[in-house]
Amino acid sequence: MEPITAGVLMIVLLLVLLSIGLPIAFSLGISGAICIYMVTGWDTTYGFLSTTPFNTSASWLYVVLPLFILMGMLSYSAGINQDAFTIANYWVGRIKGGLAMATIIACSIFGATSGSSIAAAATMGKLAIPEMRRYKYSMEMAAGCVAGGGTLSVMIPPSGILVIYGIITEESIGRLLIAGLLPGLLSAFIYMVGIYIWCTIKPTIAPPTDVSVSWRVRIASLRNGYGAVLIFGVVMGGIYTGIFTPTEAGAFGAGVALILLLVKSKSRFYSLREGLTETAKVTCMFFTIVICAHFFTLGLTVSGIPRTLVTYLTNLNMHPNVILVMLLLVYLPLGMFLDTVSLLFLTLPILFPVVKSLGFSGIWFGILVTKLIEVSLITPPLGLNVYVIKGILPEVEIGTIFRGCIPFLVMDILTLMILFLFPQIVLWLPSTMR
Amino acid sequence: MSNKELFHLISSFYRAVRYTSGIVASICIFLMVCTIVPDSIGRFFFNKPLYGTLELNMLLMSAIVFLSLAWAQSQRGHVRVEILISKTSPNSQGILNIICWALGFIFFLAITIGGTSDAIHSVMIGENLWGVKKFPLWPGKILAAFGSALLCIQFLIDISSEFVHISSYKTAKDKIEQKPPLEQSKEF
Repeated sequence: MEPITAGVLMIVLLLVLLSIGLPIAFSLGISGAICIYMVTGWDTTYGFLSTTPFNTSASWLYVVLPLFILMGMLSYSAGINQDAFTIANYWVGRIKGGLAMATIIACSIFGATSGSSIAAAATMGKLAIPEMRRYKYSMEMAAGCVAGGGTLSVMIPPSGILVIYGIITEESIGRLLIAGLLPGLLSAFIYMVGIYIWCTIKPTIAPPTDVSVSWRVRIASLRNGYGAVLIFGVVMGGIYTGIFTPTEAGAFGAGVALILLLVKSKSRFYSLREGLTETAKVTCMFFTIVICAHFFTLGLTVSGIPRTLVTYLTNLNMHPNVILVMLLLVYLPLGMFLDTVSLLFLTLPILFPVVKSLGFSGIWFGILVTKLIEVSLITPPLGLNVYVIKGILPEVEIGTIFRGCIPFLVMDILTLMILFLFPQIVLWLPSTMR
Repeated sequence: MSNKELFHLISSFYRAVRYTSGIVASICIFLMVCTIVPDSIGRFFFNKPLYGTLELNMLLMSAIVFLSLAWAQSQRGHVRVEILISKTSPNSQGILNIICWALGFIFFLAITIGGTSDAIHSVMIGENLWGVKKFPLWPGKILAAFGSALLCIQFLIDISSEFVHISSYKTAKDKIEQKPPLEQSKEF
């Protein structure tokens, strides 16, 4: 069979398998293996089936992922998010929309110790939403800011998504993580300014709080932030100065989080066991996709689709920026239906060669893609963070939560435009690395 | 021993193996932290790395993934797009699930057969990773084949439980249809 025909059939088959509810990982694996079989025959396919799963998983490059996941799980059990919210509330709680801003700051701090947006939204939802409702914040504002703030963990390092991007594209993981810092902080800043403007235009959504906190208490509260500072300092400081590789930084971060858990948590051994078992489950889920996506990527390679696409797009008489925008726009509809890891494995093997052939920085493209993934977490119909909030507040209509996310979507698009127009925001910090 | 007792015994044994595999995978993650941290400290401060850390962690990585496969499937941990199938009837969902798990079974059966022959070959030739010290590769390959085989068994269990669900759903539906209209309205 013609390789291109086999490739097209593979993509059609993938869509059919996804629509009947076959897990994404298995859909990728089966469609990829069938394409390899159609182009190269049984012997080659059997060879790949025998060796690819073990060879893909037994890689030093991938060790960083379970370590980052474990670090996030242990940080959560050590109560870092709770400390972060208390500190942020003391400092900005009295400003217009202060509790919502405190939520954004706490999400950013939690994001600096964990790469999971779900964990951020779930834990901050339980902490911050009741507090905001106590002060008569509207449900749209309360739910929207937790769902939006939760997405910051995807960008602020250490970010699991950026690690996966680095693995797929073979860009430096250390540089990608460092590159995520300024865009993450920019996103948080734009969220806070946006909340302030929203509350100024519509003061009823976030009435002012009446609790006054002295400067002495505020400064004293900073002592409780040592956990987050320690983890972030060890991980990102180690990577930035070149003392650690990202994998070693992950191990040290998990080690520090473990010590914090043992010091701070009452149910330390239960939390450790839960953290380890949950990490094993999430790692397995990630790597089943990684292994099966390898078949899909091999299928794409033997079909020649990426090469054909690169030739076609580079021969178009269009400005490279226009082509880049077109490629980025692909993520908006796909992000509405696919989970983030699958989205990266599905798109990057096809799109990344095009991006590189157009002469764009892989790190900059990675940050733009990550920002779009943040957007996909709060867009209907499958905005993951929205469903996490719905899980915490079953009595609230899903439409209410999505409505609350709209202002944050607007702010995300604004951030994306700034990052697109000023790539230096992304590329400056990595360029100063040793 | 009756067939039912034998089935019960086998399924209990399988559940124990699946649970143990999950626990071993969790311990492997802890081992990663326990080896990489001393290796980095030794290398950075004393110029004495822990030999074999890289090779050991590669095998631990593989063990974590493959030993958790069946466990993750039993908890429906593998992500799927449910937007279309959630709109269908429970009966149709059951049938689609059977098709999905059967496809998964066939795919992982091929991986298990291929992985097993690769593992046997690896044992026969005493395959090693060659670094500063040689490190045996075959235990990782055996674990990979074992984990894939466990997932195949899990798929078979999932298929059979879907059949049970469909038949129990049909029986319940038939019973409701056989009842007089008044009784039905009371129940609902």
